[in-house]
Amino acid sequence: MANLSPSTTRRLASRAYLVGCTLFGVAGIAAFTRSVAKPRFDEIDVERINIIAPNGKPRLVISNAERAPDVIINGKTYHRSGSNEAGMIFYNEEGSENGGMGFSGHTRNGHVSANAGFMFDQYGQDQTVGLTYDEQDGRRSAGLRVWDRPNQSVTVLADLVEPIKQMPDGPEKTRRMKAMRDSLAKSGLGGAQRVFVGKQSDKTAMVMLADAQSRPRLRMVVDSAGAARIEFLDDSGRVIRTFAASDR
Amino acid sequence: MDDQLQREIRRLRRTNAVAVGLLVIVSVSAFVQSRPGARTKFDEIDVERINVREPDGTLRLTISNHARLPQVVVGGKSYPLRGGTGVKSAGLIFFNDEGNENGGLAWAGSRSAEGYQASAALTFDQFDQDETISLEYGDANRRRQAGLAVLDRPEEPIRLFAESVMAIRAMPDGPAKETRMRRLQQDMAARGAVPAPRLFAGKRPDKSSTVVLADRKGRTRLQLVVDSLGTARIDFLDDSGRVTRSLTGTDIR
Repeated sequence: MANLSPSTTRRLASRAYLVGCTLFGVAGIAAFTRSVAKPRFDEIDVERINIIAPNGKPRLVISNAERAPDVIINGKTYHRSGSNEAGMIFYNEEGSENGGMGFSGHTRNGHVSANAGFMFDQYGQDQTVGLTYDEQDGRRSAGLRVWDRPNQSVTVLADLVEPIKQMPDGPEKTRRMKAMRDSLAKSGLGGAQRVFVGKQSDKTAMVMLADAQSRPRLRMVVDSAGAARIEFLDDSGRVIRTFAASDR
Repeated sequence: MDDQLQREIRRLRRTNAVAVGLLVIVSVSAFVQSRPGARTKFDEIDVERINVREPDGTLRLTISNHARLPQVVVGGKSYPLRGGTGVKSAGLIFFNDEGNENGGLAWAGSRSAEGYQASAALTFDQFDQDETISLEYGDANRRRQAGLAVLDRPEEPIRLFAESVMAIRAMPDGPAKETRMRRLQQDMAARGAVPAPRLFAGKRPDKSSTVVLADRKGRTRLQLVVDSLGTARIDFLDDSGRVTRSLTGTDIR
């Protein structure tokens, strides 16, 4: 260094400084950029994850109950029947809800209430196939269910029900809701359960097939006492023919 | 060299050392941020794909939109065989401990000029094969099927099929390509490398609700049916598909 002029030394020092800064600056930015493009975590705690399409529309929401989304169909938001639950909600390419998986369970005032459901919705409609579990104080049902849904959009029904859902809780709301359910059942707008394979709260194991009006017409049953039978039913719910082990 | 200049150089060196030191800390901390140990907490995140991996990097689960759906991985190899139908499914893909695909949960639905198409399925694959049990819904312009299906799959690994299809895809379009594809299907049928549906519980496009049990060749041998008009019956069938016995609500025993 003794052979260099002071101005050369200064130039060299400032150049070294610039090069050093630039290198680490680049490394620093690269490190952050890399972690933004594809960060890696061992474990994350999160209240809600939105899996979104490149255009920003949701395809899946995984969340706790608090942050669970209300129903979104054709860009309109509706309240869910029952409360929002922890789980997953699926969305089709159009951003409309088309299924989900929800679960909950608690003991309140000494009463157990638990349920879980995994559902796929008919396009533009409500659930058409699902796995369900439901329990109230030891009365348990669980199984596979298949439903018919009307051809009209579920928004037709949702627009009818939404004003009632927004009423304050009380006898008037209960009455209006029951009247609505009865009229929906009559018009077919509420859909019809066609298949059940599982166990029911009366402790029977059952395969049940129903007609398009939701009336059971054929049943395979093993009841709580272990007795097995196959039953044919008419459209009024009367058993018209039974096969059992004792038949010849 | 005068004293003032030497002091200036020393000051410059000190400043340089401090600045470089800070940059090193910042750079390293950026990399360390995603290092083992820490559990990161978010209120809510938007993401196009999540990969769940084993410590050694083996992929066990992807959760993604359609654009980032992973390729099919069988026999340790990736094949661009997904989405040939044009359906834009999003969802979850499961992988076994060898990193091969072994199931998934996917859904799609959209309207087009020709009407609408929608589908959804939760499927678990037979080892080294395709789906063996599936909860499913399929719908094309109101022709709807939904239910639970259980299938037998061939004994041979699905990798053989994937390799053959890739080879045929690489051929130029034309009659030779079509012939090869047809021959592949015939060969697989001849050696029994075809799926056999064994059980279905659900509803069919003909608006019946049904439970169907089939033999090892996929032939229906016992079915419970409530048809679109509400008529119930139980059918026993022979191996040619002929109903050999039928029980209804009205026969006389």
